[in-house]
Amino acid sequence: MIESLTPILYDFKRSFLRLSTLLFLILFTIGGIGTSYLSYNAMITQYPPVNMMALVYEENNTCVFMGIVYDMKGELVDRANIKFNNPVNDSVLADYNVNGNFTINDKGLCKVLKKYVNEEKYSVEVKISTSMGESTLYIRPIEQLPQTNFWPLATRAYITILTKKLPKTISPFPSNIGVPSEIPVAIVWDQLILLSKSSGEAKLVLMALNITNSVNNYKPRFTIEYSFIKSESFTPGMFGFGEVKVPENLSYNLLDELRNEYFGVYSLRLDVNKTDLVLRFKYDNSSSIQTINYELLFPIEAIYAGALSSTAGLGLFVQFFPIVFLYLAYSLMAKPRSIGALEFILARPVTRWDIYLTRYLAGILTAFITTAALVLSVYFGNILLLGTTLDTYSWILLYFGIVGSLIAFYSLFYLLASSIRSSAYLAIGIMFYLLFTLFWNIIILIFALTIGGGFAAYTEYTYLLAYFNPKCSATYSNYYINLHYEIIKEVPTANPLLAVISTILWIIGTFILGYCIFRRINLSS
Amino acid sequence: MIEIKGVSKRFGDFLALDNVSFNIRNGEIVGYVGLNGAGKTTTIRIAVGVLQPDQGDVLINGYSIVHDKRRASRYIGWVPEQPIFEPDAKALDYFVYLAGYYGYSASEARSLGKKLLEEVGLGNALYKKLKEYSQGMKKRFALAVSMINNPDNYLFDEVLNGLDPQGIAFFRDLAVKFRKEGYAVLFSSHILSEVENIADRVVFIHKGRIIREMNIEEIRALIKPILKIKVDRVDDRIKAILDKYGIINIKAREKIVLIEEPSTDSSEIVGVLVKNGYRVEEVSMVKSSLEKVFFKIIGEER
Repeated sequence: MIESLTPILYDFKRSFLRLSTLLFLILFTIGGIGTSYLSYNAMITQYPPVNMMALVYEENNTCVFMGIVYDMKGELVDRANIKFNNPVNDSVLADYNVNGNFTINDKGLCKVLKKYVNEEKYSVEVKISTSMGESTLYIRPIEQLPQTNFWPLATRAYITILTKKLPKTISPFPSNIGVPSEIPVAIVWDQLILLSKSSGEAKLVLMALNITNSVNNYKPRFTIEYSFIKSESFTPGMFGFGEVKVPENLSYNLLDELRNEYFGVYSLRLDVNKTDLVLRFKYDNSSSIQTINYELLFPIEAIYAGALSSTAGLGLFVQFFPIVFLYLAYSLMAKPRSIGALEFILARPVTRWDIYLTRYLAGILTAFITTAALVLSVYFGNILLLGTTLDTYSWILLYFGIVGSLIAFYSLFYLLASSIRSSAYLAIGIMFYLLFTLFWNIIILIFALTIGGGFAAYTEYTYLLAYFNPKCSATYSNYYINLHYEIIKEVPTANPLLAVISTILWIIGTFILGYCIFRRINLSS
Repeated sequence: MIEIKGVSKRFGDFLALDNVSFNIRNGEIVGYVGLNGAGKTTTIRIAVGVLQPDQGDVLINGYSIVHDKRRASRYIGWVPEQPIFEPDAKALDYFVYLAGYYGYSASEARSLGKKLLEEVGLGNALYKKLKEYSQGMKKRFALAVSMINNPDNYLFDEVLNGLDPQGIAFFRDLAVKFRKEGYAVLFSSHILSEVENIADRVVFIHKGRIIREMNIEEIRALIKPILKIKVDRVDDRIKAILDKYGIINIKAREKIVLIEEPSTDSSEIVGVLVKNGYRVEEVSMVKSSLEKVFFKIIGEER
């Protein structure tokens, strides 16, 4: 074999460090980061990038503003700026720099809120700014909502400021409060954020106020417990309002013990075989139960994974990056072979096999490294921008799916480059490229419409015909990532084993066939 | 030592080489002469291993180029008539790349490249792209690459073709230097006079077959002095008068008598002619050319 790695590295250098490759890589890296933005946008249409759960209360001439600021994954942010604006004249009523879990004493705040919201009937805008993004919510005047803003209970008056998924309004009075009917001891507001459907990983953001201390110094021990049940007949839509029967003998785990005012973000692992989270608020011998259905919650990771692996995301790379490999096979094989430059190389202590293999490996190495560069840039772009990412399984699948597809394309182009003259190579290469990328969907459609099944069978034919396309591994990795995140349903015609075999055949078959031709071809110009 | 053993090669219906065999011994420059298309380049391409022979083999220092190419290629350098490289590569980079195939690391190859390219007169064009090189520079570059492993066998294919006088002198001197160092050198050309001054031996190829192998002395012996005499008339008698002075060749129409290798001085012959009543108009001494010898050799085979 070749005694030094220099030729392989040199050919790699020439293929990887060529302007076209780098330009494309930069383009697709930007595209990759763009993908992060797309995923980000897809997510913030469903979840605000930052959210706040807070309350203001006034008691004995003090005004307390406390709460938490968290991102769409339920993580508390490091730093946030909260501004209370008068939207009529844009004047800032109050401005605070806070951390994720804050308590502020400011008499002025209660004063302005009372003045503008209660007396002058303005909608006060609350703007939360963080490095992750911004969210705006409103404290609306009394007329627009049935409840009072300041909720007088004993000596305290409360206002809760919180955002929920949709719509992004605040309700000054919690809508789903777990207030035991006999004595109003607690106000509970929750938001359940499902991170991963497969693992059941979730965040429960909870505001629970033990307000009993304001009532006659009555201070029972107040705990929050949780459990899971499988509801039989749940009407999808607004969660938390279904008719769910909770069995009496359900056993609970302790989530937390409630102090006076409490905000908490709890990491929960939801039972994926059940459908509802049951929260029990317990004091003395009384309790109140609240259920949150999570069966139909769309997990954060699925929105992200869906956007990432879509045609607009990394699919763009899979679709267009083979052009780079069309050109690489041209410059590494078709062109030097046609002009006769390989002959001089062959006069070195190498065989035709060495030359064939070296230049092939240079392209393969380029495929591995460009894909790694892309995937890493997307990965870090996502971590920085979104603070979220796919799981390792998906990244590995994604990486090898793309690499497999690029290598299969390169092998096909390399076969063409080894066997036909460079002038014909580009024409035929581009034809194959167009066939397998841009025109492929039309072919699938024709199959579906002519052979049977019609439009409905399109998806099935997609996976059936994918075996005959070098893009097979990318198509299948995308399919399995989407399946993994339950974005799509299983397709009966999809067969992972055949996909692997197809990819291997695309790579090895074209490689061997190319060598059989190259072995005998005249290398002089 | 290069041993070409019974090499045949066919391109479609065309028999390019027909059982070609000859040796180039160490310390010897062999001229390989034939018309364009005779099969010189095909022989050389097979000898360096870039073309597979249909039959036969070439041994480089005893190693088969067909069966043990990696080893055999280490001992042979090749300067093609029109070297072709990847045009966008820079000279030194490409040298480093090719040296990699000999097992040189990039840094070793870099310093070796600078040294060898300097040696062949390309010291000021190390960082030029190969497409900017002239034909002569490309040949020098091919030579520098051929010298990477310091082989003791060299094949120069029509190397003087298209070179300026400086380039011609460079390659001639180099061949002579290589011979002095005991290397085996094959110097192909379609012009016999090109190899006459340097070759020890000439192998003639014609239509894919080796038709003659001659020492340079034998070739030179074929070049004979001819006395050319123009007279006022030629008749039967003149041949009889001059016959004893050498081989007589009469061109009646031009009234010219040619005496090959005259046995005596030209003045004596002129004297004899005048005495016999011929008027001698012009006398000169001419030499038969190498090209004539070459065509004669080929013609003999025709």
